[in-house]
Amino acid sequence: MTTSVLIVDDELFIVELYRDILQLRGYKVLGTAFDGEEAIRRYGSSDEKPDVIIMDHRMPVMNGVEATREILRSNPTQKIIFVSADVLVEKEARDAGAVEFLPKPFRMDDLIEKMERVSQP
Amino acid sequence: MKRLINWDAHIETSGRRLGEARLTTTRTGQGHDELSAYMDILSHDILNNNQAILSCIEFITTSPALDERSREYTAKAAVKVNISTLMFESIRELCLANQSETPPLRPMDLSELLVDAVQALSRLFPRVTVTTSEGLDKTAPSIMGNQMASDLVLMALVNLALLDKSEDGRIDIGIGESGPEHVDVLLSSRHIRIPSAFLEHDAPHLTSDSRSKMVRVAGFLLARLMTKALDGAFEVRGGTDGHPDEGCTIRISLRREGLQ
Repeated sequence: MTTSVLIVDDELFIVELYRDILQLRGYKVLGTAFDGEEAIRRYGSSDEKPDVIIMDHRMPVMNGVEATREILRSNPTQKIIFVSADVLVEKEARDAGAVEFLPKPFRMDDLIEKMERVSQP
Repeated sequence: MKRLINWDAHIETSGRRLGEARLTTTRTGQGHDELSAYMDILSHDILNNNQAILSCIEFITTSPALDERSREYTAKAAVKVNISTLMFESIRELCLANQSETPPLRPMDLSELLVDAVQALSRLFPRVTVTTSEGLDKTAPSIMGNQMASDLVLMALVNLALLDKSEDGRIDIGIGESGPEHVDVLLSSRHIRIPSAFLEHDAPHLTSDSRSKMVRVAGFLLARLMTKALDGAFEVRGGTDGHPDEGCTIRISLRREGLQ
């Protein structure tokens, strides 16, 4: 079964790159969001929930930790992989419920390996 | 004649000096806070840009139409981005250390640290061969460190590899002891000539003339600062064991585990 993903990052260029590379590798990109609030809205309004959410931290309106808490409140089993240039936020992200943390910059292979691991039933 | 002491004047002067000292401390604190905030914002943007560049490179290299030469250049571009990330992370760690916000020191397996550093170096510079003294991967003692310890060893190795222009670069790694409190990591190469400005001066005492010759040693400078922040020592000298006129040797002394 194809792993589906929601990409949350405030930088358009990065979102497009993740999307294109993941699609090339056979993943289904369900949607994208540019801040935490938009991510919650998209997540809540979508019938199909993603297997994995790739969540950035520093974003306008609402940051990744807040968005992670909010999404997991509505669905505690949702798998969220945190990606951030701020390594000091790792503990906060894991405390909020993120299953993995990847410091930026990372290789897409590393992200894909984590996606595969967390999306295993 | 007995001198009369003007206590009021002394108290007033002391009070004024204390006030000035407090103001200086406050300003220094504000300066540190400001620098910390700038570093925080800068690091986020720079590391995000590096992420974008690396992802772009990964995307380009997936194309089967890419010719061998272009593939080689894109791989080299990725190496440059990774080195700039390592340097930037090192500067950020040093800023945190100056703010006393550095992660606490913990016992670290030196063998593991060295193996990880060698693997990371091999990914960046496949042409460079690294040899380790026998048993080093199993018998090295533990040190007290944090992420900065791993990064400074890698930083020193990367700088050595960058200076090595030979086709078949080689770095030797050994372990030594310069006292009961420290463990020494010894990195040596017979191909590399360290710029004399680096051997002779410490960065804060550089003249503009010596600074102009302090090229291609930023990694060593950072590694030296990080070693000092970990209460260790970083020395570079010309020559290697048995070959005093060839190459160079770096000695990184790190605190041994179990000492206060």
